[in-house]
Amino acid sequence: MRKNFTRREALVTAAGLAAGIAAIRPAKAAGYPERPVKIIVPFAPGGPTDLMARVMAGYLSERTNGSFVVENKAGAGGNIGCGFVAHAEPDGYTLLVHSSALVVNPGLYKKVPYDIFKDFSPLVELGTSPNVFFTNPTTGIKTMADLVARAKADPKALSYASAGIGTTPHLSGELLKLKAGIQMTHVPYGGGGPGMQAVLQNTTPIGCVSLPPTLPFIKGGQLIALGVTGKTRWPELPNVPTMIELGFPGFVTDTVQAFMAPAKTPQAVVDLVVKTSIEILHDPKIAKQLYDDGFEVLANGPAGMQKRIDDEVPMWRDLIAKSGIEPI
Amino acid sequence: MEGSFAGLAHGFDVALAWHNLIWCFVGVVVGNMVGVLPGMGVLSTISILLPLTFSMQPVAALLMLSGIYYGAQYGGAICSILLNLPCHPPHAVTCLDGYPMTKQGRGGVALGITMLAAIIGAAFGIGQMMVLAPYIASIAFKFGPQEICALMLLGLLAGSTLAKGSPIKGISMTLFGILLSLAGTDINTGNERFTFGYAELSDGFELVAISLGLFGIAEFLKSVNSVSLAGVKNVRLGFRDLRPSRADLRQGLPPILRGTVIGSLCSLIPGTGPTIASFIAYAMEKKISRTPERFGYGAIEGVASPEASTHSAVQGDFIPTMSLGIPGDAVMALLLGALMIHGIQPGPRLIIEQPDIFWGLIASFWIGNIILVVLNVPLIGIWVKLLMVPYRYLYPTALFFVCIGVFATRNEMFDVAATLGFGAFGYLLLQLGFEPAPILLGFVLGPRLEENFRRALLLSRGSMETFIDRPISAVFIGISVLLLAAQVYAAVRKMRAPVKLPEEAFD
Repeated sequence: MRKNFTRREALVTAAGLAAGIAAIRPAKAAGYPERPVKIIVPFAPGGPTDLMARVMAGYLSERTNGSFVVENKAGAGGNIGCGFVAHAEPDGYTLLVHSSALVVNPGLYKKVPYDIFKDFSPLVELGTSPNVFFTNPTTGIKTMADLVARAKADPKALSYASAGIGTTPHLSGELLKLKAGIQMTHVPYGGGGPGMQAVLQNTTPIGCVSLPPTLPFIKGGQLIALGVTGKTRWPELPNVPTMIELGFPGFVTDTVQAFMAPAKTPQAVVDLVVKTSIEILHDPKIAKQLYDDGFEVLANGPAGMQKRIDDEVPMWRDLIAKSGIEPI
Repeated sequence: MEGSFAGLAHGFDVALAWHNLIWCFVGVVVGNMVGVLPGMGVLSTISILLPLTFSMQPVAALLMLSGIYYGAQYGGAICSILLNLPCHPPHAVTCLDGYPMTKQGRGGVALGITMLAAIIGAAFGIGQMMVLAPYIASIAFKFGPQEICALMLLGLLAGSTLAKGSPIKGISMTLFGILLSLAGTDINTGNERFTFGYAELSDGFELVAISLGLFGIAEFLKSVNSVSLAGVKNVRLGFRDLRPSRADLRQGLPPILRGTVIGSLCSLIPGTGPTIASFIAYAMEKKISRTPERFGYGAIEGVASPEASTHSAVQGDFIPTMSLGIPGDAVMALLLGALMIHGIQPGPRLIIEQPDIFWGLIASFWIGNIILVVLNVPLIGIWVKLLMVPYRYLYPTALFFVCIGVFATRNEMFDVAATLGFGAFGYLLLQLGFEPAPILLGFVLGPRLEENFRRALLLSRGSMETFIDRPISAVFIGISVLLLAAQVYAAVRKMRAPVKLPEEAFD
């Protein structure tokens, strides 16, 4: 062996070694991810969708030895970020974590900048949170039957606060009005927190928001839960019935967190992200953390996500039309 | 009270543990730098750093992220005062008198009084958090849509004359600001208004784009055109005296105390953060001043009061977030998100169930603010020397950072274009003798007025009486009426007395 080992030779050797190591590693979508992967969240930082995306990005980076970065592209109820991903290069380096607005907005807006059935390749149905109907204890309403009776006695008596126009809590309220045949005035707030606060301070007697942030108040007795909109009862509120149990068959309106990629993303990339994500969600420690943050883990692959899209887009469109909500 | 001190003692145990102390230090230093850089926002910084905190202990993570938020306020005033660049919306109003002070060579004094305002405001805000946190619910819950609407009305009426010059011009600028704020999605119907087909406008204009455009860029355009760089020459005069004199302190202290109280009150009202607090503080300071004509020409009160108000509101902002689990703004929502990622549930039981977090945070506020003052006071001299960098290097560099910062707020080029557009428009306004400050006031208060007005009417089913039926709201409406009546009375008296009005000459 020669004594003088030049810098260039060292580099070549290093490159060769690196290539060798790469070749030994299990085939993972031809080296994906080679550069940072952007996960677009179409809302401002801090909300549930953002939280879910950041948890996923953290563990995906860890388990793929890559870098998954959350980028917030907020605006137009999620349409801007969603449209951005729909038309992004389908190379696996731009992904989307969206909420139920993905399936609601095509029925709510006159025009959305994406075709929900053609522009996306669904990855994973990550998790879901039910909504909850609740009331302030001073109203004297203790059950859903009380609410319906009160509204029937005086159609102008009740108003309900929601997380905003076109959110699943708003639409849950409208669905309740249709199914129970009652009247309530909708008072939209700019998010679940302010909506819940409106009921806490008795500005509106009824509220409907996503369940997780209301838990401490329901347990503490500052709010009375009337019914949850999930398929089953929420484990921490075993005494609160579901809407189905309350006599409204088919009343399931949850807020889902969806992991999507642009259509025509290479199958190998899709498979890798789906497989890794489902492994992450099935990790008991992570599932517990997500549950504590208010998400019920679903971990359904592309087929499950596609089914939700196929079922819910027409369902929400139909509800919006029936409840007379003006398309935006 | 006793419980508070026991809690605080425990908090210091937590916050002084070396790993927490280091992260608190890192947070405030990063925050301070972010504050100084034009346009770099707190929100984007925290969301960039959030992933780093996943592997940290939750207490350390929270102390660091919070440190960025209040640390940025220390840096935020610097560019406002020295360069007329309001990088952080709460400090926009500081430009009004801070920059004239710089032009008079008193920039160092302005920064010095800012430090004093900061520490007094912050100390009051933290003290309030220690004592009031358990009772916050009952105070915050008294403010429904009627009360907030009435308060915003009062703020707009009091503030529309906050700029120097003719009141009519001020009011028209306020109305223009309200008009600008209408662009975007209407929260009550979900409809888009005045977006002219631009999807980027669906959430309205970015406040930081408007304020940087109207103040920073407009000022830049104005100075570039004037050949004499008078400002720079005058600044050199000021180096002799960087510290506020005894007279400055005497003049500045009462406004600091008043601003502090306003800031802490605002922080208790849901959704009324530091930006609104600083505008209301400035407007009120001018209203009660015996010499309102000095405002806008370097009145030290015009720096002291809004700065104190900002700092006390920033600390107070944590109260509803920590004691109710209801975030007041996006920064607070992100901090709660950081807690949730660590499996800690925000809510009314946080103080009892997580004393380490709550009291550790409060103790870290004390420590962090002291670190910030110790860091910043010696730096004042260096910041002022920044102005000696030739204008042709200084401003283009600042503009570069402005563009990056504005872009980073939402990752939208549209906002950069909007900033430049508002800059050109602001230049036009300055040439025509319109002061841009009330535009910001209208832009900040207008949406809250409209949203709550419509919500109140929705709840009262159209009856306007709802605003005078409720005591707090009735008081605000009453003060508004008095204010209007006083204005009209003064105007009528002026019209009757055929005296030449000296201040008209300034227009």
